[in-house]
Amino acid sequence: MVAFTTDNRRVAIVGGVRTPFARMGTALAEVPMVELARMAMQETLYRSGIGGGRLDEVVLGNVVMPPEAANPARVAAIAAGVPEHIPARTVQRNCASGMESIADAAARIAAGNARLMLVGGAESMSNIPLLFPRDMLGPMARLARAKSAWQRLRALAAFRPRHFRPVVGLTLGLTDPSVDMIMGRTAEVLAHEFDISRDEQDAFALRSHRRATAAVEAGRFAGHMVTVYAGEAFTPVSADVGPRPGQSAEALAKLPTIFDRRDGSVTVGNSCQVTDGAVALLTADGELARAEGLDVLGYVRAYAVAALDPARMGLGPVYAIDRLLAETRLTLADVDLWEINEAFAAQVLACLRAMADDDFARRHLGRHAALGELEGERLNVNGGAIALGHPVGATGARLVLDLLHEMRRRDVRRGVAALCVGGGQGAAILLERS
Amino acid sequence: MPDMLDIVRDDDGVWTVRLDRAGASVNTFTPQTLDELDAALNRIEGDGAAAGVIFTSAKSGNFASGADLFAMREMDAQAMRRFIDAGQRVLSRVAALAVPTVAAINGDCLGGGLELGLACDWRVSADAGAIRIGLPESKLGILPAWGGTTRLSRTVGLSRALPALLTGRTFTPRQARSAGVVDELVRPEALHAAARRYVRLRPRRHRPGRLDRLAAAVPLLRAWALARALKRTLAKTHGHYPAAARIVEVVRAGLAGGVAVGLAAERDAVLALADTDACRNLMRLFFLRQTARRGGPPRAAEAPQVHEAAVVGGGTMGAGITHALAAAGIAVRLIEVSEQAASAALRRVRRLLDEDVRAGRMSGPEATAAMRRVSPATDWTGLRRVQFAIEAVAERLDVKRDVFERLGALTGPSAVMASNTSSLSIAALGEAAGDARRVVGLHFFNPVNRMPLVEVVRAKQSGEPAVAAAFALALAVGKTPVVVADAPGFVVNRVLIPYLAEAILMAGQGADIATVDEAMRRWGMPMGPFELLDRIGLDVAADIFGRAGGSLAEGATAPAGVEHAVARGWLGVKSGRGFYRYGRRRRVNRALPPLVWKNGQGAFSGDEEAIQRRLMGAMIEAGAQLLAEGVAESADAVDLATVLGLGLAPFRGGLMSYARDIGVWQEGAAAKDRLPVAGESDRRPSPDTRPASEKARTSWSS
Repeated sequence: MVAFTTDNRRVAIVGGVRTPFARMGTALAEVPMVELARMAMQETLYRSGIGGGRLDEVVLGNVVMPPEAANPARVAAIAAGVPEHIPARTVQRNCASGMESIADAAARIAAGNARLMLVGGAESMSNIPLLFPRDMLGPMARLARAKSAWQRLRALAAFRPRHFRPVVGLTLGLTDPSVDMIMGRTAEVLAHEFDISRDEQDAFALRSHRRATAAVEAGRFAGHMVTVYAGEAFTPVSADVGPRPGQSAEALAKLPTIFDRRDGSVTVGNSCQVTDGAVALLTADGELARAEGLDVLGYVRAYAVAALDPARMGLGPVYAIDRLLAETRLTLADVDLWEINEAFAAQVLACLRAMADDDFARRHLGRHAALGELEGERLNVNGGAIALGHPVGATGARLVLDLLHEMRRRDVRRGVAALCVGGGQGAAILLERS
Repeated sequence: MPDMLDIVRDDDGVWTVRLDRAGASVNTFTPQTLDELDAALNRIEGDGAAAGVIFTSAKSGNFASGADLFAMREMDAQAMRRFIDAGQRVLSRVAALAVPTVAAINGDCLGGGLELGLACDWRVSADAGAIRIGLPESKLGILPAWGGTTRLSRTVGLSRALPALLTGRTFTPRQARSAGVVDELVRPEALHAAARRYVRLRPRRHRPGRLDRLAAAVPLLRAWALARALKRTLAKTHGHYPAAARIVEVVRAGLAGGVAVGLAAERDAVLALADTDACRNLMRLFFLRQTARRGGPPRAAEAPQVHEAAVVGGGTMGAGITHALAAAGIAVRLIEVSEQAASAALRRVRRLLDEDVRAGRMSGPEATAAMRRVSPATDWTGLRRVQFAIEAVAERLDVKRDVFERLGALTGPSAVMASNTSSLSIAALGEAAGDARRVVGLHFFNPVNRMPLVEVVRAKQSGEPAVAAAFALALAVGKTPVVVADAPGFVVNRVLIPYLAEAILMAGQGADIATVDEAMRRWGMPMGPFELLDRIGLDVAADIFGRAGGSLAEGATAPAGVEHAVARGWLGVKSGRGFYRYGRRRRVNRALPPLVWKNGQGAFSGDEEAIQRRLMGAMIEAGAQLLAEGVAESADAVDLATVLGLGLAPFRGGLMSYARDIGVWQEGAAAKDRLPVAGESDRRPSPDTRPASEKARTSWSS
């Protein structure tokens, strides 16, 4: 278990931007992950007025690291103009990677080991490569070693059509090898266990689209968004490609259940979108932020990670929130705004039921009573990943960035962002504005 | 203890001669260098176990830049002859060494540096786009005379050597490799190892291609090829560059008679050329340029290096400036009005970088890195930490004032703010910024990536640190800065506008456009006035005339008429019709002159010289006037600005130098009342008799 608070030293978030989030294969498909991260980092530094040379380190969350950029944090930092002598590190806790980078900086700053850190997360799911099957290696190696024409011919003859059928890297990445389940199957498990109907899931998905659309129309993201100039034509991309203003309940109801065709209830419509995007945040020692008059969006108060059965990974937020509240001696009611990442509608709804269930609290959390009811008016108020998409390495950082801005807009004190993590974990972070 | 080189021998008997001129950042050759090379050769020849010699340099980014011209300037004819002889003798000794010799080119390898390389058996070069390799002597009105002319043509053949020698253009390592000037490109860190490999393996030396060998061997073929090259060169230079003919002659002598004959011809030729006006003028400009780059305002050397800059406006000029900054390693916050405009600006910058990659000046990854230094913004954020901001928006005072108001409010307290304006008052912009001490002009020329000049405009209120910083930034992006005062048109446009106005006036009086253009090309301009007007764009020209008319083209009403052409959509090259009609073949647009000059009487009848005198007269008059007003610091500055900013015939030595040579102007005096020009009486229909200062003010307040 991981849990810590920053009671001894304040950790401020003093700026940040995100790129638009664009559904896989759309507006940002041509932009490599490192470029997305570069633009978010560069813009964050420019807007904050902090020179890259003052950073202690750059930490970036990323899940499927691009083959052409081992340690993408380092490659992106240099591309963003951060001086070469500033170190950089990529962190990976699957879906929580972006949040992990913030926690990482918070822990270092709280311990007095750093004063300024550039963090964030990035993912280009459009650019996850296709792979050749493993049993192609033999003939490939023989071909490379072949010297004479005859040897070459024999090596070529060993190839079979199946060798050329690519393996989709994305599918591999979304499958948990510990239990051999693709993520959607774990959502089906929770839907059955908590008895969540297809209608409930679709209604939740519709709400996500409506809220996200309203937030876009009200310009709630625009202020902390950097325009990406994509591809060779430098086409400006300045809005999320995901929220559907015209989404109807009927259309959602028509979609097939893809993870369990006969008895399932999870569809692409009530699951998160597969998306490209990047987020950068600047974290600073609270004292330094005050002394320099930096614009403090909020403070990181505590962070918790919990782990559980990989097949029920969607409940991760419940365990993590439990730890977070225990650590800070707060209750659900003390927190004004909530973000629980929408990996699947079924999964978020399952979390809400588990949190409100005394029996679940006793059996799994060691509590006497349930955590409590979390009303919809305080949860994912600007929509979530079902509408905005889930670029896995970036989402944790987006939740924090969007939540901080919403907290400022509503002028409320506390917010929690949490997400479930493929592989059977949950992460939650507590943010405060004063 | 040698001052110019060091020499070491390793256990295998390989000698390494490293050029390393004490107290200098580049290697240049003086008589002492040659003495030290001589002594080094004595030691090597005395070493019975010597296995080979590697010539290289200890300077970063520089192998050797040739003879020390500052030292040569002090030499009399006798000393010059001795210097040439000594160079030829030492390099011939290198060529005659019994052991293998390799030049390991780690940086710029120019003139005498490359002549040393050509005396070696092989040349290997570091593969870096910034390295320049070549024999630029002809640009100084001379020719390579330490065996370079002869050895280059024998190494790479007539067809490749002649253009290189005649134009004096320099090559990137890749270009040098494909021309056969260098044998191999290697990664910089492996340069010495590669040179040792050549010593060990002794591969075959580079030979010219088969056709070139044939041309060298068959006298008739050779004569034909040389004659053709000479004819082409003369057509381009109009005989103004005497070095061209001598180069062809020396190449012929070297190919026909062998190296010894070639060397003798080189020596005779260079001594004769050194005594020509063209050479004196070109040399003088070279020194002016060097001095301008080294000198500058007192604190230019101390100006803090700029790492982050902002450019406001990403049109042709803004994108060009952004490209120059990014290519020089400076991060650019590029401010545009809309995402569409920002996108277009980024495309422009990318195109310029692609051009660099194609030309071998940059590698693909270097261009990508430069592109990433450009961060577009449409909301004026991110200016707080830039050290230097350059405005390049539309040439309208209200628009520019608004930009400077914002810059003044948004940049840090020590950031310099510069305008790329060509016609507006820097003082007015300084006022808008709120802190005029930080405001200067930084006038780049179009196209930015090709024009070497930048006018650094010092307004009355400009602080010295700001001027120094602007000067240093111009140097950092590889330009030659000239400091000028905040007066309409600064220097270059101030002399150009009356020249163009006079040409239009002349056309109105019936002069043939093509004849006028041809006359000015023959005088030594890169293009004639009407070709230039069409290139600038008549709409732009009309705007400039409209703005500057009263003060610059004194009393000339003709230019105002350009608007009538613009009204018809005749904008010059870009619209396909201006003073010329641009189709498959270019033809004079006879319908235009009567439009611009309604009172045209067909009165003009002058020969080529009359045209040249009258047009240059207008320019000289403006030059003398601006000097009298103190717009430029010296006649030298005007010379430099006109050559680098207008391409005004370098062999003439610049505008004021030419005026002095033909006896119409001297230092400290205004231009002789007026040059004796043809059609004098028709020239100025309504002379403006107000004092110059007052006229300036009227037009300035617009």
